[in-house]
Amino acid sequence: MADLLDLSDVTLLRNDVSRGGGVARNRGLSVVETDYVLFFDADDRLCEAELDSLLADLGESEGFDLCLFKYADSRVARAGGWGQPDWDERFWTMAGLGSEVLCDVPRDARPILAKIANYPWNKIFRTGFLRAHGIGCAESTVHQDIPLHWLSLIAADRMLVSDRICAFHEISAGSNQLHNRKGAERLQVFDVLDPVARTAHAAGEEWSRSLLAFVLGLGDWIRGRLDPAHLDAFDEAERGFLARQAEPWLDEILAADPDLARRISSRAALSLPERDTP
Amino acid sequence: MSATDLELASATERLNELRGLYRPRAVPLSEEPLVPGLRFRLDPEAGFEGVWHSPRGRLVSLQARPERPGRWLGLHLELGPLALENVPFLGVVARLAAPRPAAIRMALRSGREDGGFSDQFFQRHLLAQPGEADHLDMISPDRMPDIPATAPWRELVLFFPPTEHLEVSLHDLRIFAP
Repeated sequence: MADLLDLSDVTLLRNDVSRGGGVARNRGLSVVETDYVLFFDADDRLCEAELDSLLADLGESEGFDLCLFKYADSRVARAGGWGQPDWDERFWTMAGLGSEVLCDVPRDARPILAKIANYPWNKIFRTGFLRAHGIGCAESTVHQDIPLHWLSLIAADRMLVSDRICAFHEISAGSNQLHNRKGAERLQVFDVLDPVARTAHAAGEEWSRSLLAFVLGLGDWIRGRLDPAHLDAFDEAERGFLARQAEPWLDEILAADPDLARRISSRAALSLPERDTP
Repeated sequence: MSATDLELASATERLNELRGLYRPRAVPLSEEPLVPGLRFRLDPEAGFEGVWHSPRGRLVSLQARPERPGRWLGLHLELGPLALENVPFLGVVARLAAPRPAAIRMALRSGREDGGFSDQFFQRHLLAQPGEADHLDMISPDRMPDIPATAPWRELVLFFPPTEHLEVSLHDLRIFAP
């Protein structure tokens, strides 16, 4: 097999002990010498023909900080389809995107699009952009890609999207994939989310509400796979996060998105501010 | 290779030509051929305005808006005098997407010696939706008495919704007679 592969351009970095994907990606980013970078996982597959077309398209576009592309998910493929799960596709649709081979993402569409699953491998980043903004992955055991995802979408001057499906994401039930982790390490998610929430709040109310909505959905997703022994601790950690990152602005959230405010209030046992109803 | 196979191979060549065309810039919508043997047909009373382009590796992306609800907006692929005697199956596969769902009908059009034509519609609609979707349908020419076994010319026609704003991307289209 080795003689079939040209590895002359490959730099292999190996940590003495496994420290998770976030550490690995950050280490890789620190030595990248190319203008653009795509993080990719060993258990996913590149869709080479579409990626080649996208790269050719990008080569003809003016500079960009970030290009998000579509992916195919093995759960969709096993049901006879090809593409993203509905829960991600709907955010593309809500953002007014979805079937353009390459287009700019308006700034007001980004907070909507940010709520897709926070994968690292469906984006091509300008290396200098990530470095200039100090954007990388969290070095937690799980959910490392949340800062890379949110902070890049917030900071990008020019963001592109493509409907080309350039990656195939394999989900294997029962495997040791991060997707299937059930332990207390899931509670680290709030340590990862706190600085992201502060940046989102500084970026504006739309970003802040978008992140909070994402967190509520992520919380549901984690509860669905967490070992029951950790559920109480997770609930408490989530309440603490919402008290820190949502309660001070609950009045503004209520004014802009009453449903989100009610969900936050219910989840965190927070009292909603009294408001005059029109 | 039979005459039927030759005509289908020619149609495939036309599609391959468009797939390899790569026109990233918008071309005003008209009845001018996209490539030889492939063109839009527009209801002249609808006052369609729009553009098309051909992304790398794909066939065509179309944006069209009628001034008033139209009666037809079709993409016509010439099939020559495609002979259908003893052809049990004529199949089409398509891959397409659209930002808003759009139902597309597909027909085999057979020219007549008197200058007219008849359409045999495939049974299923093609549904274009935000995620790219594949479509497979077939007709059985030798069991369909309304399809003439011979015809001076034939076309495969994709009828797009002609009454309102339309955006659709046809990634791939193939026609075959196994």
